[in-house]
Amino acid sequence: MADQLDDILRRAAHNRIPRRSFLAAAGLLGGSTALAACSSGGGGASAAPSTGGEATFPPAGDVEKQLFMYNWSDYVNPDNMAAFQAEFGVEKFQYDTFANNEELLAKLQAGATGYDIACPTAEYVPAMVEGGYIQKLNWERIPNQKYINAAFKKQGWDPNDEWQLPKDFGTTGILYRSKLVTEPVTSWQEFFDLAKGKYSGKVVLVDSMGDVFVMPLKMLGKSLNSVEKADLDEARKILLDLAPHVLALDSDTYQDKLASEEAVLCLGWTGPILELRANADTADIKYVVPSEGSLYWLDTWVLIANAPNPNAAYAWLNYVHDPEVQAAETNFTGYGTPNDEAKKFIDAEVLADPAIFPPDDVMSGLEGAVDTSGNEQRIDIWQEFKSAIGG
Amino acid sequence: MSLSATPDTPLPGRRATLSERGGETPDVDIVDVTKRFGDITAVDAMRLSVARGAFYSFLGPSGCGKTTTLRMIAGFEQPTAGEIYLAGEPVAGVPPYQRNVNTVFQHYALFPHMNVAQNVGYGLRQRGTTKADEARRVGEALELVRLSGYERRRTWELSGGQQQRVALARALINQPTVLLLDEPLGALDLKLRKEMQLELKALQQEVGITFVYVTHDQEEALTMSDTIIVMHHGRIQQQGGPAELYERPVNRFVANFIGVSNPIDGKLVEHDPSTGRGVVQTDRGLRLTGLVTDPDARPAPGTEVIVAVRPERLQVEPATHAAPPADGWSSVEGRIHQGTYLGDHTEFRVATDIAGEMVARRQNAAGAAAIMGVGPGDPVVVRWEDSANLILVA
Amino acid sequence: MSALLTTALVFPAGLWYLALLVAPLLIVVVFSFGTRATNGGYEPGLVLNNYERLLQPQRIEPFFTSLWMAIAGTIGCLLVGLPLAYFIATRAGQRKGLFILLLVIPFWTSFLIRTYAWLIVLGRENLGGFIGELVGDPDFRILGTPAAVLLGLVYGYLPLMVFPLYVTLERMDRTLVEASKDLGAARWATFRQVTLPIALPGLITGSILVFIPMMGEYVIPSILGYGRTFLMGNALVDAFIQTRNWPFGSAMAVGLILVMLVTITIYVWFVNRGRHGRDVSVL
Repeated sequence: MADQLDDILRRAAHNRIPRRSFLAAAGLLGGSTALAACSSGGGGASAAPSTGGEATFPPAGDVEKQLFMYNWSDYVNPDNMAAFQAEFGVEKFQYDTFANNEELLAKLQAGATGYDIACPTAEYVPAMVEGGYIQKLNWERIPNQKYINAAFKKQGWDPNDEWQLPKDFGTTGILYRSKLVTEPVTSWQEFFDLAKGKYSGKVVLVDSMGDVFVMPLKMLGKSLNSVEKADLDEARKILLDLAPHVLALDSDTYQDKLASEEAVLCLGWTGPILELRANADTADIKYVVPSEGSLYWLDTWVLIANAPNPNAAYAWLNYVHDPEVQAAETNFTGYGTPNDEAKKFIDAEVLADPAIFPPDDVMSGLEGAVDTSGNEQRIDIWQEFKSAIGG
Repeated sequence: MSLSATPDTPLPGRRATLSERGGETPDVDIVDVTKRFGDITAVDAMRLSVARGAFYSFLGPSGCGKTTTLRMIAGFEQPTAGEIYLAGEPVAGVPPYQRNVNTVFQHYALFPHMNVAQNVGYGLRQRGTTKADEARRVGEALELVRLSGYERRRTWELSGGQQQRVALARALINQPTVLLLDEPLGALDLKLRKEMQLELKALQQEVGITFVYVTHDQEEALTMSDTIIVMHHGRIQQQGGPAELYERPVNRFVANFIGVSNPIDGKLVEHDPSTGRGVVQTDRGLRLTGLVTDPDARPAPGTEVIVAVRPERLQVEPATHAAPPADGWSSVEGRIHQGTYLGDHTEFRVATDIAGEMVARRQNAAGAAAIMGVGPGDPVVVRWEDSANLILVA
Repeated sequence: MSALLTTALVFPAGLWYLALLVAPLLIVVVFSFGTRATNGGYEPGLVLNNYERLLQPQRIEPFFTSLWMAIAGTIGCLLVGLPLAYFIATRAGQRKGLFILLLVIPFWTSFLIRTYAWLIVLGRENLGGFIGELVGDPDFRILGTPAAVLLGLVYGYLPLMVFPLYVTLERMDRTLVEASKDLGAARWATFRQVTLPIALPGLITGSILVFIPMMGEYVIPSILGYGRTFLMGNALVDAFIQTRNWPFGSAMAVGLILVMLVTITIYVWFVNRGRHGRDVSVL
């Protein structure tokens, strides 16, 4: 039993991207967010927006002896960090963690200016721009950005590619235990039918509004970002139809529910795939991006406004997209990289994994998420759905 | 009444105990009761009958077993061995709430969340007395303890003496066979305590309920009790009325615990068990005739004994005016060591060669004039009658 | 002079209250009338829209779910906590300290970790499965049910109930119990008429101490309840985290505070009425 607890806690704390998880928060990670709390010495100037016309960048200087990064837990390959420190003479590489984008936003909003680099999900970049928490990137100092696939550029969250450098991406899809679910699961419709039918009560959904809405909207052939009332009315019906059959809403331990066979179908992320696959008992786990299309998310590197160590920050941003370095990142995190050149160095097994690098036809059906969390109809449906699950 | 707590001939049991009382059932009968707490014997083979309607006191120093005895009667403790009878019924295993005895606790134990009337009526409510009946009897009980009009008061608003009376009323209202009082006056100041002593005694006579009172204060016991049971080390030392205990203490403990006495060491040389008369040769050459106080004692000649003489029995006279030696009197010479004037009497400490330092108390009313001029260092003669000699064997 | 000294001594406490209690509450109230900024957060405004939304049926439901879960949890804490506190205060003797320590030790561990531990204890491989076998239902589970949430609530907040109860019971004059028995009240009658009324201030304090955090609880329903029991705490997390709608979340918080105030007022009134209208200060 102690072993089990250990496993759960380890995963809850170190799930690579416990995306939108709020439970895995600071309580578990002995997390060193102390820096954020006490280093607001930079003062009120932190919110100075750097907008307007042609950006003027401060001149480059010597790489500083330290670098402060604010990131998801276990989201950078420690070997790369060590190598970077050795190469650029950065003696102190502080790696603090947040549990979700909201925590990152809240910290920056509270005036934490001690950080150089952070790693928000793309749809949160506009809020950070508006808040004046980040500064424009000087691409001249990040030549390796040329390796970024054009599909990830000039997206809704950063139409002019001014503010963020893509880090890695993943998808929302269906996880299922193929040993127990023998029927074909290739689409949201099939997922919905199986969930309502044979596998009623054995279905887990991640506790994330934006991700759960993907299913009904894609079943309806709509944009997953739709905020049309008619679309959402239809989506509501589907969700309420599904609600009684749902076992759990769980972003933190859905992997354990799949492993214990308490759940066999799951609307979730690719995160747990590698570990479940590695275990003989759960090697039958399958991940599918449904044929109607789904959501892809992109995590990005941003440069914090008034970063105390801008030169070290730029050094890192360029360094991390060096193809070989980036390949080591991908092998470590298990998430797809937008860096095409890096694919040459990625482990063949990882590269061939459709869960990590979906085939082109699947890629073309993916849609990037827009922040729709301000839509009141969605929120109301989401709450109604949650209440319906209990009843 | 027997002077001895533990007769030499053991009684065969309950029936015999009853027959001692001429067939009248005593309120409390304690038969061979022993109580141990771990290795400590708090009460050791106690045997006692409490007659109806009397005021009994357990008197002894702390730890003598008096409170434990009380708690066994109340039912808070169970005897390790022996049996207790209440009104003739054995009560082993009967919980306190089914015993018709009530207790007045040392610190009153009034319920803080109830007012005076609710406290007093508590026992009646447990028996389902009607509200009207309860109110009437609470009124009567408060009148009895002179607290009429205090019904609605909070208990913690009352003075110590008033709380004491509430506790009394709360217990008496239940008309117990026996009322147990556990040093109930201990928390009061001296003046109030004296008042309450008299009041308690009067109250007991008024209601006619048997009181069993525990105290370590000999004066309190002497003031109120019909019968005092002196305890020490879990055993009854002596049982009797106040005068009996003072005038005829059966052993050194009782003689010292009740009042003060001048002890003179010696050896018994003669003893007549039929009259109790004995003669003692003291270690320093004095020959004293007196009473062997313990009627059950059969000391062999040569037994080491103590002759105790109460201070008020000693007369102190200036050597120059001393009365001549007389038959039936003893006298020793000495010098005044200290004289203390105490209003109604004067206390002298006299250093004597033959009997060590002796304490004498003389009333200042009469016969004191002759001694008034005597000061420290002056030679005096100390004299006392043979009847003052109490020969203590144990 | 002494007034000045008093002011000086009270000042830090006053500042503390102002900065950490009054000010945040005011901010919440002010926010509740604002609007959501385009990218989430708060934009100043003076609208009642947030409160109107609160009154939608699907918004009211979590209030009631929270209310009855918190009430059931408080009763559960009482049923377990009162005998426990009574035992420690009156029967544990020399081992009082040990029992208190045993009660406190789990608190040295993160609340989250202890809740995760229950996930395993109640899981299908352990207690849940065991009971399932006993009743012959392979699909039987404890986790994901209101019962699991209730268990988690009682477990999580029990010490907050036990400590105030323990303190009042421990301070209670033991001879009062003897006096009651002496006056003819058996054990239960004594407990009801003496021990319980005297423990009442502790009982009220304990009940309020567990009730308030239970009303706002979100971790236990998420983990042990599988997100199936949707409480106010979860609605608040959704408002602040998932939708970043601070004004609406603030309105919800104000509503929650009001519900708690009303409930506690009714409770205290009800309990005090049971004391024959005697004047007793409760807190």
